[in-house]
Amino acid sequence: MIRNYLPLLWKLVLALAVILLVANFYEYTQSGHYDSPRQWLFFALLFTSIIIRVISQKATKNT
Amino acid sequence: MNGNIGMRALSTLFAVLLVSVAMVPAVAAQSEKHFEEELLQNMGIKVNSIDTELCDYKKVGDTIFFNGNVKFDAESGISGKFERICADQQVSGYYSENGSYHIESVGTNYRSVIDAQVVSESSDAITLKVEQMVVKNGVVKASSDIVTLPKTESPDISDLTSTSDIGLTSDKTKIDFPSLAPSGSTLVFNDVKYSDLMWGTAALAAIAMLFGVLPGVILSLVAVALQAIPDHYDFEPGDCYLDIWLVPEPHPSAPILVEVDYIYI
Repeated sequence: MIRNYLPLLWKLVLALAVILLVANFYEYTQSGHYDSPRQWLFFALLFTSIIIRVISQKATKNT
Repeated sequence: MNGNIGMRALSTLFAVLLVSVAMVPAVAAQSEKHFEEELLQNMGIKVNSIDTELCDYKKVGDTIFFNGNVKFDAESGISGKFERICADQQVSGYYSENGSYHIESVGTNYRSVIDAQVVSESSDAITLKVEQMVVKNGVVKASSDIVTLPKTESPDISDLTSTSDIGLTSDKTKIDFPSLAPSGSTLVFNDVKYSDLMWGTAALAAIAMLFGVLPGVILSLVAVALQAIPDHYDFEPGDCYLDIWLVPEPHPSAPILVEVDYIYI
């Protein structure tokens, strides 16, 4: 079942978000500018991670 | 006499400080400041604090043109009597490789023009004729002095590139906002770069996710708001500087006040 993989999935999405944040920050320190849409993608991943985590917690309670 | 020492101190301070700040990376600027403080101490000036900010500079030939801001608090001691010199000024001018410089500074009810031209030069020292005109509260004072400086105390601008290369906003205008903090407020953080706040909050939001959903959500929303503001108002996060104040008791509705100190547009 996909439920079993939800705790792993939110951590994976969070890890992707952090990698993106580090990449954006590196670009900013190098050039003084950052890609705004890519920074919004970071937030999208962050909130996706939150949503998956909430679903994961509810799924654990129901079982 | 007092005026002469003050004039020497001010002219030396403006010229050496601004030009040297232009040439050294931010990390090394502090050691440069110590050097200038020692230099001024030798002239009978005790420096309590110096805060310099170079807004723009450009090298044309062997001359560097600059403008910036200087805030300083110093005391000049003559015959055991100390006189306090405080200033918050906008400064512009030029500095030539041979040691000549011209500086115009403008403060509240204050304007001064300092012009220093090399009179003679030896292998280890330069002699400058320093002329200064000060207009303070409408009163004009002019003076002239001959100053000899060791060459080691003159900034070397030969290695400076023709355009600003230290991340300064050379083609932008600085807009300084007056503080709205009520009297009695405590300045907790001064000149916080907006981008630092933005990146820091985003990183904290990611870290907070490991400690629970609620702290993660709260910090994420704050980070989103910080990200949205520059996009909405169309400014570079690196060009905006904030002051964070702790407001005293009579203003309980806003215990912390965050305001824009200055911005480059």
